[in-house]
Amino acid sequence: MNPLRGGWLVGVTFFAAATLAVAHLPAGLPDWVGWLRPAWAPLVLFFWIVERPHRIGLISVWAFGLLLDVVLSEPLGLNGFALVVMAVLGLSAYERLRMINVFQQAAALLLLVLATELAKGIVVSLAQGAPLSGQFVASAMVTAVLWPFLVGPLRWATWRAGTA
Amino acid sequence: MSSRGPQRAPDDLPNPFPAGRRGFGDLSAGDASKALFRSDSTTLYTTLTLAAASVLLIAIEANTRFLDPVRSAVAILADPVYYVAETPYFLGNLVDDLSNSALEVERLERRVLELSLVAQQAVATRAENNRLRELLGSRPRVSGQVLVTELIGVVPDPGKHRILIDKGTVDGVSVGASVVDSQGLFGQVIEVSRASSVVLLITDPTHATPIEVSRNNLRSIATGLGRYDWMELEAVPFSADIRRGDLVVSSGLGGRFPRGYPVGEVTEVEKHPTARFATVRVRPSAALNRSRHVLVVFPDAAPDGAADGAPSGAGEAG
Repeated sequence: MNPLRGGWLVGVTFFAAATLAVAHLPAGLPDWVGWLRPAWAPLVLFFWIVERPHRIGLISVWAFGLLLDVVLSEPLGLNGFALVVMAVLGLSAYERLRMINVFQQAAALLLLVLATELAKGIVVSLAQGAPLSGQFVASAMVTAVLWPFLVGPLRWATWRAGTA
Repeated sequence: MSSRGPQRAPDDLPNPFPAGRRGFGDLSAGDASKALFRSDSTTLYTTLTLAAASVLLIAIEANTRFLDPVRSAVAILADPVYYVAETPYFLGNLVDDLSNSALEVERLERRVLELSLVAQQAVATRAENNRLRELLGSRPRVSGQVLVTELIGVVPDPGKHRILIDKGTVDGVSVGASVVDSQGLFGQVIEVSRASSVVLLITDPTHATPIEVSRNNLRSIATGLGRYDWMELEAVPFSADIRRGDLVVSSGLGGRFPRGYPVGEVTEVEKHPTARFATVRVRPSAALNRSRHVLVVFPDAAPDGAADGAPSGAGEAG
């Protein structure tokens, strides 16, 4: 696809997702606020799967995951793996995802994030022997709750940028 | 998804592109459905390859350090992410600095005077200390050189205590360098890229600091618990002479940290009759979640303890 046909917006949203994923909270907030951080990268990926599925290439998704690994200081390949799993699952059903309403989409997003985060947790616990923690459940729920509020502005931006 | 791609009539696809506004919207939709479904096997192979690549990378990284250069190469792309994420704080500080600069300058000038007095005494004390150590037959201790760095990011996972600083290999930072702030030991450098480094804080759950109690040189190890406000000492026997208020400093054993930097203060000693060891809690001295400027202390440049201990680093150490 010609990147000039609004493709920059895809890049910008993914960059924004990475930025929001590392933006740290002001010091002094209690720790549990950090557990509620939405999974921004899966959220943005889900948006593009629903809106412009042909813009999502598995290899670029994996490469973005590599960047995310470095940024979040997680094992290399971990986020790429999770995002590719999510992209494959999402792309295999993108026509249905487009048809259902935002709340059903939010539910689908919740399931996808839960599945990929669980896969991530399992890989980490296998590779590093760290115990599997359930913290991702809260973050997945926040992600799903945010979806109905973000999809409108993102769609508007897509329309303005003429992303085809 | 029971139907397979190529056989599907184009009609049963919901057209994602409203009414040919761009003329070739329909065309690209057709392309897209082909690109996605033309060959399920291609998708499958790509997925499997990428998954295998991920697993391979994770396995290599879990066991070796071969991938450190890859990580630092990707980090060059990743730094902008951190800079953008840090912008609000940067701007906030800028406004703060501008509004308080006059007062601040005055306060700092006074502080410089006070500290330069202390530094003069320190130079004299160090020279005297080295003389005495020579008399005792032990080598003079070389104090490392320091580099002032600024925090540019915090790894967001609350269970990981890691920060990013704005100096990297071009500034001579290397893996293993100790990091201190104005009040105490901060952490150590664990990853370096061209213009940034990752610092593991002493309170990270994976970190252990060899320490001693400054009052009586009792040695122990302070392990991080993933909390900024306390660490615990390991395997302290009930009979150990340690009390609330004791200052805990780095012992220099293990060869990673220089000796004598304040690590924390003992806040609680609990000797529970059924426990095997006393539970000793230490509050870190460094402002681990507040400092914006930290110092990287380079590992001693002269490994065999050349005799120029007193002059080296004296300029900045005050």
